[in-house]
Amino acid sequence: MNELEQVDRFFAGDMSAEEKQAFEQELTRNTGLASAAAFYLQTREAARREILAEKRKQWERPEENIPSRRTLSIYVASAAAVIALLIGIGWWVLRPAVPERSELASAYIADHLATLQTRMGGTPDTLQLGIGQYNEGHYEEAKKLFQQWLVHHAADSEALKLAGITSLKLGDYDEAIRLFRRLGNQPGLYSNPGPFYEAVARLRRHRPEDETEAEKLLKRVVAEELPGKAEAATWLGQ
Amino acid sequence: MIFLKRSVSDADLVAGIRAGGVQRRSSENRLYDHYRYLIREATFKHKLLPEECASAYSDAVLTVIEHIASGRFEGRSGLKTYLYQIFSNKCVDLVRKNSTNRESIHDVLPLDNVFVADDARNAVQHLITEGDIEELRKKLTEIGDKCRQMVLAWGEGYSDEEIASSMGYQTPAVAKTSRLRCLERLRNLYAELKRPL
Repeated sequence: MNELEQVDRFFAGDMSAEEKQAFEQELTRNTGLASAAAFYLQTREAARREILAEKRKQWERPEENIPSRRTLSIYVASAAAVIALLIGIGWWVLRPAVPERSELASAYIADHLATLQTRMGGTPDTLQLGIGQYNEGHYEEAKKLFQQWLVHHAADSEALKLAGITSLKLGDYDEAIRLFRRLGNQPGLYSNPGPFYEAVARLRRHRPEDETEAEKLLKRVVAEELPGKAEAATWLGQ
Repeated sequence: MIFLKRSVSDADLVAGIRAGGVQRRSSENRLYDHYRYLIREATFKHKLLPEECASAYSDAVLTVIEHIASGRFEGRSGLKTYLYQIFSNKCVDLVRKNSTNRESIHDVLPLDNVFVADDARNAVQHLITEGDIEELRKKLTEIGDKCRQMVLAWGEGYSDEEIASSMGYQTPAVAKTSRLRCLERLRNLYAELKRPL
């Protein structure tokens, strides 16, 4: 077991009390182990700061968008509360269950991308093999095969789609978006699924800019009658 | 339409954060928004700039999320009380930092509750510096998107089981091996940085 593995076991709480004690004693004697522990803690802190920076971008919207809880006068609040109660009861009874778009995108991936259709004839062996791996749940292997094919066939729209879907399934949304963007930008395709899949990937990635970008893509899908039009229209509430 | 918003209970928020995935993200955002007004109060109370308070509040919310996810928050106090306490401590730290205008090395990453033995804590503590943490942040961009994503998820407190499920690994053990491999890759880059010229 190398130093990082030992350190990981210690901080993950996977050691017995005796092992922990021995580990702490070893830290004072073994500078390599102490350095691994320091690296581990510093990396966790660095990762946390990265996460915090991303969260701050997402959370810290301008204050004027947020209703103040302290400024409503009691009279206004009381009157509004009565009206709100009546509206609220009606709304509660009649409210449609509208899931968030990101949830719809997750459900779409689960329902529609669980397996890929095996195509007979015309599809190169490498892609067929990749589809087979995907359908058996070996996504990493499938990804390798699709990427291998793309090295020499960079403009193959089917391969771009398959590689993008596999990245989506692997949770590698950045890569999925890049591949679907390449697919979406291909001119002359009779039926281009790139924009719809890119919207799905963005909704799953859920960065601050993704919601707006996904909305633009979904509008494009509807306007240009591209694959995914029915889902896009529903998600846009049309 | 504040009046049409369904009130959020502590139990809903805690359950949502512990559920993981999309529900966790949504509950995190709701938690942040629900007590956001504390920022304004702290600005007056601690005489800090609004952006300083906003930063401390985000940090406090992230800490509370980590404590909820790891089970460290046991629900013995209300969520608001718990968050308020952590947020206040962060504001006080900030006031202290502003007044002394320096950062003590020991404040970079306090290890008081990490080790039992003082000797072990001291052996590691003196190796931790603010500069190294910031260098590691930069190096995180050099280990590949997938590794970075995995290390960030780990830094956010996700378990190997959750990482396996969200990133498509077959088992938590496979996710753990990949995570440690990513950390090793980062450590090699970090070692190159520390190597004397």
